[in-house]
Amino acid sequence: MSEKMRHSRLELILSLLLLGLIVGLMIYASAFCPFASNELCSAGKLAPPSAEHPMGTDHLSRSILVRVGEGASGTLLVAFGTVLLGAFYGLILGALAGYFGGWADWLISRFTDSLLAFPGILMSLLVITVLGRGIPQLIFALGLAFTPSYARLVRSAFRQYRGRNYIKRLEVMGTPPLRILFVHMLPLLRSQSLNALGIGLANAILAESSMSFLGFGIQPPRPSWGSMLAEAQPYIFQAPWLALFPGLAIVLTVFAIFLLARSGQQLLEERGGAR
Amino acid sequence: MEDTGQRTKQEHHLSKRPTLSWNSRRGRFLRFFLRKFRDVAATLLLMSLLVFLVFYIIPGDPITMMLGTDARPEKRAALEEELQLHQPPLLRYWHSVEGLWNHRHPSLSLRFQKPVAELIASRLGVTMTLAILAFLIVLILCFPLAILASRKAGGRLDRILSMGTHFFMAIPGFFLGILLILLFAFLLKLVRPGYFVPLRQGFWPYLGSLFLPALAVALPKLSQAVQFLRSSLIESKNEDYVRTARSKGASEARVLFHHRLRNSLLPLVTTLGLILAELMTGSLVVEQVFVLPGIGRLLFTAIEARDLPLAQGIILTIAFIVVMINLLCDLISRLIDPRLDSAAATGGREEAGDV
Repeated sequence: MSEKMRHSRLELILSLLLLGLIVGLMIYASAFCPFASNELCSAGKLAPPSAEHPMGTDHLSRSILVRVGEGASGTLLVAFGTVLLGAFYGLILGALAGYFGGWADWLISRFTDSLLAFPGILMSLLVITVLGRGIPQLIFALGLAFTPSYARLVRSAFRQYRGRNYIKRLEVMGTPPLRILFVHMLPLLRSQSLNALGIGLANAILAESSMSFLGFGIQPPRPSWGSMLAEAQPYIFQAPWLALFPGLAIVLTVFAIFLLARSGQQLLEERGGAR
Repeated sequence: MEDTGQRTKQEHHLSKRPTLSWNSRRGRFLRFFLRKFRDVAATLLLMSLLVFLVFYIIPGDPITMMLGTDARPEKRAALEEELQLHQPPLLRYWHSVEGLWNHRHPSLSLRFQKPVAELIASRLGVTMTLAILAFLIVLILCFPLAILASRKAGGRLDRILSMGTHFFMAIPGFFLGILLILLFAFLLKLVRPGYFVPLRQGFWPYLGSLFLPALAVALPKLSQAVQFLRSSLIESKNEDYVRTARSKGASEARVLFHHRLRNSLLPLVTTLGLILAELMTGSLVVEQVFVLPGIGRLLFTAIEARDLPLAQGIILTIAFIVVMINLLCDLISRLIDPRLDSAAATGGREEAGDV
């Protein structure tokens, strides 16, 4: 085993451990914990970390550990939804533009270019302003903001595939275009997709927590890491743990996903090269 | 080799368009500029229409929102007149955009009862300074860090920097801001929390008070720039032209600064442009943490209060700045590498876009 591969494997294990920690916390908070996320505890307001409340309590004397655990479910739901929606729209737009070319390509490219020039967070804020606040609206808003980058990726990949000989042969044989697109060309994206989806997922978590921090994301009473940070801000000097733990949850989750995408990609490449 | 390629392209060019003046160096640049200008105008039009449309279909009656449900009818009518709600949509669109710079009939903020342009102008400076300061931090630090990391790919220093950059990319700007406040104001007691000096009390104190927020905005993006430049430098390590330069006896420093960094310049400009745009929007969020009187906090107040003219004005302003940054990047790339243009002029517009 090469030095590089051993490193990738180490990174993979580290990232899986971190993700396991977060998911474990999430399951513990939703199923086994004696407190509910909005339950007021007897430890009092702004209590420092203790055996009963390992992350302390917040300004309303709620257990932070439970809230961080519950926050994971909302964040992950929104992040997965965002990436799936963005990748789905991006796949359809990019596939049509890349394969058919011509006016479809022009139209779709102008559309994605305009969206790309429009900063993602402004786009999401606009959509939230119109549709109102809530998880489905948030997923739609962020998904829309994630669409153009996926569309661009798929478009350039499909433009390359279109020139390959066996695709030309399929065309000559009269295979319907949609079959070529989604049966013969789609699987070719596999090698790129792990990285693109992983980084997309990490960015979606960051975007969700920004929106929640600003108050336009996941709404109370449901806890979210971003909104917990916003609530913690007036108390950072009295009780730094209020901000520290939800913030660490964001950083560790995103970091773990970055590592997972990177090491997974490297291990796949290594395996592909050895064959 | 590059020379001959360019010449054939130029000849091809000439045969297609015999007018020499248009094909002179300056003429081609002008044409490139005009084409970019057209694209930018189209994007701006599309975006402003989109923003207007969004605010047009927004649910809720602004008059009831402002005056309450038991307002007198004549008051409602007066406000309706003021907001021009009875006019056709296209005219309202025009007024909403034109009101941003028209001094006689400016569009008024509903919440502050002041012209939108005035409010934006008074707040924009802080946000812009923050973004530019952050950009300078990225620009100054990304070269040495990337060169250090790329010196020995896979070495210990490279691995530490790689882990570090991945870690910083995982920190959202607003949390980094909170951490920096905790570190510098709480633990080290170097600055007062909520410390901000307005520009009129001196330029350097003003910059100093924006340094921490700029650091919070810059560090995640710095990581992105370092990663990009590092992989670009590692790729160029074994290129033919680098070997040639070395075999000619050029020192390692000269190879690095004169050949390899130059070759990385073009993609770097594009990346830095994207980063500058992201720094701009990143500042919006970080202002909230440091309680800075910037345009971001104005925007969130406006959305919260459903102050539509103000929100619309701010969103259009930010979008305009981002589009201008993109345009500037395209122009700089074109100045660095004129081949971009000839590829585009011979009909392959997409190829130019992909570069």
